[in-house]
Amino acid sequence: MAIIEERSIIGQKRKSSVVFTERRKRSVVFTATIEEEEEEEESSEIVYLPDEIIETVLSKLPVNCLLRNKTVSKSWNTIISDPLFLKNYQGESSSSSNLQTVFLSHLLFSTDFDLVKFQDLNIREVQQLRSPPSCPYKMLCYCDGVLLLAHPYSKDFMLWNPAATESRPKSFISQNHYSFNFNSVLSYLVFSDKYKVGFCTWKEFEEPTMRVPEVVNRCGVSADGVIYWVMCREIIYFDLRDNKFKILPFSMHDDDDGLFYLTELRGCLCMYRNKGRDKTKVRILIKEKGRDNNSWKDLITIENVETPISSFEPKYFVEDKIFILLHTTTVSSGTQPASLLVIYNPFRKTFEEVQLSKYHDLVPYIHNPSILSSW
Amino acid sequence: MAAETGTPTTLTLKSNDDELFSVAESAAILSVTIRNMVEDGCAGGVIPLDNVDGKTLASVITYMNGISAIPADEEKKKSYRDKFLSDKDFETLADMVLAANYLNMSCLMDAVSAKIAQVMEKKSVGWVRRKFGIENDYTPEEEAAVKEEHKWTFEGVETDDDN
Repeated sequence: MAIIEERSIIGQKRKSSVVFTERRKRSVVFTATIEEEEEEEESSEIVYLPDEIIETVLSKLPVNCLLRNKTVSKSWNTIISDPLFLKNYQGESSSSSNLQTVFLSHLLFSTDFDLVKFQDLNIREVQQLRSPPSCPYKMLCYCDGVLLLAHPYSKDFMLWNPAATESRPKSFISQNHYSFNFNSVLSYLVFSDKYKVGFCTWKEFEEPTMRVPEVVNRCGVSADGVIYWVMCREIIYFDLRDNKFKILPFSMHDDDDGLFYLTELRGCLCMYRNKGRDKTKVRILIKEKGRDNNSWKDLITIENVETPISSFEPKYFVEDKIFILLHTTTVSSGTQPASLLVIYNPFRKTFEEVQLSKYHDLVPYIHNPSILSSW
Repeated sequence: MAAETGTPTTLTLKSNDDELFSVAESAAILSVTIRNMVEDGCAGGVIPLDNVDGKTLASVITYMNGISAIPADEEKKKSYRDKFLSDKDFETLADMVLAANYLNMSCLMDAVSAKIAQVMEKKSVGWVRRKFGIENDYTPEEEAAVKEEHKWTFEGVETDDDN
């Protein structure tokens, strides 16, 4: 039975292959007629790709290269500017070290922002940006390419996206906030004073009501689409999926000092603390991406630290160099806190100061033109 | 069905410039286009691939054989793909992306388009226009305006002297 069946299948194949052979013959004739034209094409070595393939290729470019290619032609500009294309575009930022070295920076005594790059121990301007509308505003925090700005005297706040020069101004009733965070993915705003944390959308503002004991008086850290805080030697985050505060479990190294702080490096949540009882060593651990992925590994241990860990803040990683902000209070300027940006050299175990000149509040630049439009 | 009999089935593929290639069915069905033909029972004789030339098809078959010889280990497959594409120039990659698209091979399509993107990363706008055969339809003023808006993206780009 089986053999007969198989034969009949083969028979079928033969039959249909005849159809194919006929088609092939036609195609051969076809190629023969256009051969001369093809020769000309080959000499100029151009392979024309259809739009759908071009779109696939463009979607894999790092964002700086993608935007540069808007200059290629009007049709490429149309593809790259298409909201649907941008929505699906993941932004292969990890492949490009060039991208990560561009920073958005506030200019001292000015309302302007510049895009800058580090060059050795100096900062160089790459592009001037237009300032946000109706300045002056002070930068409060930054998330996924959008800045939260606050007017120093009035109750006005503003979200500003420099990539789209788009802004969302807002007057808030209360100003009694110590720290601000916001989450661009879920478009909510988090603010906390010492005892309470509030959540609101940009459209509907509510006073903070949710009581949280002893949230450390520091900004939370945005990563994994949530905001993490340190509380009582635990890491907590607010899970919007069921509106609950949750504890992120992790195991302490017994010999390490219990006090620890959070920061974000390379797009991941990081924790840092003194190593053992040695106050001159700071150990930084990095968590894998994803809220539910809770594996930590050592990122770097910094030695010869002279400042207390409370005024030590790892800020960015640029081409394997770690930049640290040291908060110092200078006597002359009174209450105004001053800070120093240094680069750590892991081989010599020394620090070098970066000349910030007129720049401050540097944040890694993320180009995200479509982000505010959905708010 | 034929694969179940135990002896490896071989398919014959024909390029648009009349070159014939033998390839194991198990490797060839990485192409959804070919797999559909096999499943429909249309792969008994020679399979003509009207949109692929011999040089490109030879390359695609090398890839088919190479990747299907690797067991289900994504790391190893990835490093094979990287190595396979490492020495290909832009024109070869463009031919391959067209072939992968026509043959409906998503893994090759992904790898080649990512490789093209990688090649483009530091290239000037002029280079991109030449290689993709795109005519600059901007007026000089319009082009300057678009360029000015994204000035920072021109950092670290190779100079435009590559022909």
